[in-house]
Amino acid sequence: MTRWYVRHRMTIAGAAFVLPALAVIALFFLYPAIQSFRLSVTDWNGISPDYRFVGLDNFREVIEAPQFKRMLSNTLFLIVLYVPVLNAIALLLAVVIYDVGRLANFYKVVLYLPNILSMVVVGVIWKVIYNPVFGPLAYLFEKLGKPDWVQDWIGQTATVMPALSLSIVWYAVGFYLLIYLGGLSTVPKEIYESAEMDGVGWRRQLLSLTLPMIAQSVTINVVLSIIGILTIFDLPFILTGGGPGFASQTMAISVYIYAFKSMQQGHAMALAVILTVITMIVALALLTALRRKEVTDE
Amino acid sequence: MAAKRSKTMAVVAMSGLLGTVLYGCGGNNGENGNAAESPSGSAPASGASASQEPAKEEKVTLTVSLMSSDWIDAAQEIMDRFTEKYPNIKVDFSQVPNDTNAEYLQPKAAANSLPDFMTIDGGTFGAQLADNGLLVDLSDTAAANNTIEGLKPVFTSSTGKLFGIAGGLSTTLIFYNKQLFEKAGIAELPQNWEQFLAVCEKLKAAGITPLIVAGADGTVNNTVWSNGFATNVIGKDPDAVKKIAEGTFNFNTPEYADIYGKFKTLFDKDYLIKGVTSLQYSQANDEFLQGKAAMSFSGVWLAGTMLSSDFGTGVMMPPWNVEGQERVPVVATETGFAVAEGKHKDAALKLLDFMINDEGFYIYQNKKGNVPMTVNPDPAKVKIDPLVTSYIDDLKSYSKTGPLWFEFLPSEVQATLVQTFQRVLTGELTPEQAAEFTQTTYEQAMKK
Repeated sequence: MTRWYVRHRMTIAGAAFVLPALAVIALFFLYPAIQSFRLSVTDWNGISPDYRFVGLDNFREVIEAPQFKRMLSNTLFLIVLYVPVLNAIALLLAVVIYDVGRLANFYKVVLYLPNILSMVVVGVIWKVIYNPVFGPLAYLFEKLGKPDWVQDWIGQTATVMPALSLSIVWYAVGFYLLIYLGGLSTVPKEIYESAEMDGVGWRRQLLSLTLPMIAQSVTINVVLSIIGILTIFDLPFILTGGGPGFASQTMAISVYIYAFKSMQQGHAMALAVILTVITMIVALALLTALRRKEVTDE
Repeated sequence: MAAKRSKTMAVVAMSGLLGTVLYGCGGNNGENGNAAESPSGSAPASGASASQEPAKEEKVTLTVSLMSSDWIDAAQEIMDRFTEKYPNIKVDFSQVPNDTNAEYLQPKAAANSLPDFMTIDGGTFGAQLADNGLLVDLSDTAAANNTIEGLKPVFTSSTGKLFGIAGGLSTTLIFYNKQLFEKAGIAELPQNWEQFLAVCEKLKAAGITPLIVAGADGTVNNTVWSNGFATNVIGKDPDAVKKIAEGTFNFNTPEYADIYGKFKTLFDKDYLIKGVTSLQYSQANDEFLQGKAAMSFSGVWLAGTMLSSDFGTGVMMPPWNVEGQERVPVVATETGFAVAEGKHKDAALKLLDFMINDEGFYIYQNKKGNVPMTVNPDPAKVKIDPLVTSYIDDLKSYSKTGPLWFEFLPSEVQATLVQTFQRVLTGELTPEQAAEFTQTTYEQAMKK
């Protein structure tokens, strides 16, 4: 026994340290995930203790529902438009702020400020901003003598997604900016000095030096922003409720509607499982692709 | 003063009468509509005896959730007065945003942790909670005894449990801004759809936005949908509600499509306030009170707020009937109150008693200015605007009435209505396609 302990004590100590974290993960993530999967093949309504096994019917019905295609296209829209735009803005701001010197901290605070607000509050703020009757945007257009520009930004199919994206970018940019600033702080200054001596311009430095050197930050930000956008709920729910119709419905909003409005927990869980699988596939694919491009110490 | 008092007496008596109408019009979840005959297992009566024994009991903290955005001050005052009366009971009060009550309660129900006292709507959701043993059967309580019989069926589950006490008698109406009507030269109120469109056109020509409807939440269902359903469907087939419950109803008809069609007409003619598809209840009410439009399609539940405007508010029955068509008003129940099964049941029943039979009722009713749900309220303490009194009085003349949407529609259909309206307004669906979509949703719901 003693000899066995001596031989494995490092393993045992390691396991003991990891165990509390594993227990929390198992209890609050793994168990609910398994339960969700179990309930996704039932017709549970969320209240009754009784439910039946329905096989894959919920998955089929969720996929055949008219909003499913719309959800996928909305999600794709956000990934294609929001992720690159958000990361480009965050990166550019990070580079500018990194070089700005004395006022850097002020700008960091200002840009990070929306992030400390609850997404619900942000949703309410933007709802007021976009209000075509008494919102500040409408007021501004009226004052500029352009009343025709006043639109129901979040009530029209054509404008709701860009309007939603703008509010998300405003909310999230500070967070991603900080990660880029962290990445920038690891880049040795001498590289820029020698590049400048060689006459390399600002844009070339950004593309050929900065970006490869902070590739790890890019990886983190791209993966986090994609996971964030795939699972986003609070802000669009408050701002648009997924409407008009299904025009801004995300998968997470649809999970909520199935679960708590139409009392179809089985459908909600089925969609949640689909969302989890999609998120995992996308995140893993991106991680693999971006890791290959990272500059390592080796 | 005496005249005012007698009018109040009249409306109190009217509410009893209308209650009977409502009882007959359907919306019942079960066949056993008579709460007095419900099976046993009900909670002990809290009644007068409860109010006489306030002290010497163990200290409890009651969790209370109320959907009270338009009577928040009154709700807080009720809780304060209640805890003054029962010092051993502490109240942990949460306000639930409008139109999210079921969403708030459902996960709590799944975790068996419902608030001890809560607001609840009549209809399928509350009935399911009751049938799963989560809500107290209130049949034998003093609160139930003091409630108009006609308001009980939609709060009665299929197994005969009275799971809630209605917060009042409800009906839809259109509030209008008297100043703006005068400015547009409108002297007579419209009596049918064609006249209503003419009034809207006149207002629009005068540079006034004719109508506000919150199109992004359940308000549009309370108003446009429920009125359309009453006029177009109940008017033609009084058994429609029963057929819906049985699974034999057909939504895919021109009459039903016209419910969406009328809203689309108002939208296309620019009679609705800008931003209608993203407009929510509280914003809509604010906009009307700020004079941004001449009319607001709402209900008697907002009388206290809307009639206290500076510009002078009038009320009219929604003229959703085309010329020659029978007018069928909506007469239904207001969001009510329920008590959860659990260790604080007795204390929660005391709060229910306070809300229905005691001081709490008058604080609530005076703020809302709505039609009381109680059998014998003190006319001297009830506060109802004479406009509401006369409106309710007018309802007597209608032989048919319709319920509110949440009282009888399957939850799957309920969940899609707002989106369907929005899809019609944005041109994604025609009214006919919307009717077809509702029918498909209904069929899928009934299959289960």
